[in-house]
Amino acid sequence: MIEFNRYVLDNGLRLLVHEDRSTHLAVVNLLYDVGARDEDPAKTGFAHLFEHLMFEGSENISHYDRELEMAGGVNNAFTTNDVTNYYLSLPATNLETGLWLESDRMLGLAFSQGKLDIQKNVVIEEYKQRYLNQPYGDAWLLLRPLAYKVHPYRWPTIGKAIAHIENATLDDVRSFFYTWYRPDNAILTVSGNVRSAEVLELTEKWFGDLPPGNAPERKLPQEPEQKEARKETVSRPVPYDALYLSFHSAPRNDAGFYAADLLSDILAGGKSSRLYQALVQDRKLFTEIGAYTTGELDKGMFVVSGKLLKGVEMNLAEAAIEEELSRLRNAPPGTREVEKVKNKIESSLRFGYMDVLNKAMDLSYFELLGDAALINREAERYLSVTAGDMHREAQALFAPARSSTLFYRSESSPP
Amino acid sequence: MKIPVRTKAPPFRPVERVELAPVQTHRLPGGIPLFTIGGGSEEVSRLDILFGQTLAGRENNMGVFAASALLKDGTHRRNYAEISEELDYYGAEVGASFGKDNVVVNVYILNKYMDEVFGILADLLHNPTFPAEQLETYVRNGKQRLAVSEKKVSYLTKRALNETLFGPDHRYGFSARETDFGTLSVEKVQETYRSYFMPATCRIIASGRIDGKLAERLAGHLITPAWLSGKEPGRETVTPVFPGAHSHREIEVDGAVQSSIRIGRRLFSKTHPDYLGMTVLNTVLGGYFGSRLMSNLREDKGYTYGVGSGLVSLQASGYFQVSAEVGVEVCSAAVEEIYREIGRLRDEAIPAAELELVKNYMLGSFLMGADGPFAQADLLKGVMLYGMDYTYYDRFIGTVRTMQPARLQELAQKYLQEDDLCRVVAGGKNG
Repeated sequence: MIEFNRYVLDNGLRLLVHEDRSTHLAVVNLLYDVGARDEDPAKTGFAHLFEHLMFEGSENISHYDRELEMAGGVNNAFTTNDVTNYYLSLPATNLETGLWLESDRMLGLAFSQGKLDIQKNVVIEEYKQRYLNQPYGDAWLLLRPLAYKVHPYRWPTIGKAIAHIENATLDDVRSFFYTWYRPDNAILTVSGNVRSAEVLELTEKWFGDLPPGNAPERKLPQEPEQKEARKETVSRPVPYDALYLSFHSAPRNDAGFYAADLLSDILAGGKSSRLYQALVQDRKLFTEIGAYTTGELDKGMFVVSGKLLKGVEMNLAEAAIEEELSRLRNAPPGTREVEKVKNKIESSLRFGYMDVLNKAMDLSYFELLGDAALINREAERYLSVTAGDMHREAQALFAPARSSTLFYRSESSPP
Repeated sequence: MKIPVRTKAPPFRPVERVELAPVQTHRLPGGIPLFTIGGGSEEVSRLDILFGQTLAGRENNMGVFAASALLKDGTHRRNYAEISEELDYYGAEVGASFGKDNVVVNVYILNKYMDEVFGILADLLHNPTFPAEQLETYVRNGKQRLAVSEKKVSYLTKRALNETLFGPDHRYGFSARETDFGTLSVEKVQETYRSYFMPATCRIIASGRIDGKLAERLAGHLITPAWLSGKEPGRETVTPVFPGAHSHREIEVDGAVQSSIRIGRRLFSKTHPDYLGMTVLNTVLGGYFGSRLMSNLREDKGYTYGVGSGLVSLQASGYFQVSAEVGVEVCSAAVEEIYREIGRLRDEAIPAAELELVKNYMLGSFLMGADGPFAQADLLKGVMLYGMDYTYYDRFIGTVRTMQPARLQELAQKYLQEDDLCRVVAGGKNG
């Protein structure tokens, strides 16, 4: 049981505090309810580029990192298709430094063309390092637009193209900030060796006078139901063929997500999983294979991906995956198999909550899902899924007509 | 409501000391030491089972890699799928990895299934068979993974720098090549297992929510006369001889849009009197986000997504390195800036304000790296290998707090001369 106190400031900022006496640290996690799905289709990659600019100085503080490091802290941030999340850890005695820093960059940024230009370069190098200069690095740049035709999940957080990053202007930066980076669009969690009353007082002090904003109501175009299978083939200078197969899966907060997540473990969670045993070990078609849900706020992706053993025909590999999916559509998984994947989940939740930062991140995230108390229902939501639920979910999920397949071929394999 | 003064940092206190949970030492039958570190909010625990001894030659290195990877792939009683199924069923995770100086078998346990997991673990350690079919899979997949890695510029420079610093055949410089997979056989892996994973070199650290009865329960499962009768460890009798001269290498990769740069030299282990001072110097240069390399190459010039430097301690040696992936068109300029920053450490004293920041950052990071029983188990591992104990960390805190700019400059002049640094660059043709 993770206990927490919840407060809402007059300006709409939500605050969650989790006290943990077993640590000397404090964690400040600040989630902004904005991600790549909120971007203009002509200016993708912007939420992530903006995240970089959050470290380039704020209204009263020229060097965010320097001030935090001086107080013995470390920080980082990430952008997803749904949210932008900033977090820092520091000695609990220095908590106020963290709140001072986060509140100042919510108050206002030190916008400058020079800094924007530098961070554009940094992000372009990130683009190259992670997506272009890695074998198979661009697979997700291809898979998303194949799986989504309408919903903004059709582009990745890094952006559709380098040109979109190059074209970002200072006006874009300003308007994005004042639209989304307001207290009523954020969820602050403080966890660690702290006292709720004191955290509330400090939060009032540093965040209380920030004006609320007016984030637009989200009206994202929803992805229509897919009617026929989509396939795309590319050739790249990689040593072996790879295959990526995607289906649309339930939103993160739906019961269907939990069934789908368990299905992904049945398929590819470890060496006792179905795909590993059948396709890697017994039939020797793949050298590695995985299955996972993206667990996004709108309908996400359920992806099966693997690298083929050299010389294996792509259509044989594809058919072999479909065979395993059809087994799940035709019959519910066995009792012990279901218990196994549930125990695995319980274990990963428990190990995750040994870490004070994970607890803070999850509190903010579950609050965004509608109720921070969901953090304590997570295990139960997995455990209440039955084999019958998983069977029904498999039938709905793994419909061949709703699949998108990327055949990622090695330039050196025969056509 | 209090009115915030935003232009001035709120008062803060630098970390002065870090309290570590006490380590309890037990001795299991056969003299195997068990260290326990209690704590944590969840009913879970972790075992780190360490085996270590030095083996010379590529074939032996390959054998230890394979034995670690295949430890869970079959015993006299269970096949690979049964092992995996049972471990998953109990929510346990077992992983064995070969670092340069030892193998660590990590076991993550839900406490309610502790005895069941101990039972499986004992089977894995007592009766591994390394079945031929699993070995074939390992070789087949290992070769393919290697071919994929060889498409990554950062992998190419990492391998090349290690080989340059330690020679390709010593375990510190060793990276598996495709031909090395050919030296593996079931007999070879079994033989390596028998000579490497021996009770005589075994040490165990248990951390998390563990009770006083753990030692007894663990011993009941794990320690059997048959296992203890394993052979005595061999000793490395020859002091390793590493390559001497510094060198520069360039590896051309067709179509690369970034180049990977690594610059480094061999140094020493954390038992060396200058090691702690060098950790401070390294942090100033490239050990944190605000470091000189990051400020210059990323934040000022936008050459890279990330650049950093590191100091790595090994039992019989150690090394220092700078690494970055940069756009091919700015590669020469980036190399020049890296040398410029290293040169500044030799030529100028580090300003007091910068050093103060680095000290506070290092102590804060240490506090974070000591948070919770698992992190403290890692700290213990980090000194045990060198025959040291937690007092090393007291010395670390003391050295960081009292470090002076003149001493750092002296260290830079002693250890970071440009002529002593090796360099490897892999990537597209330099623009």
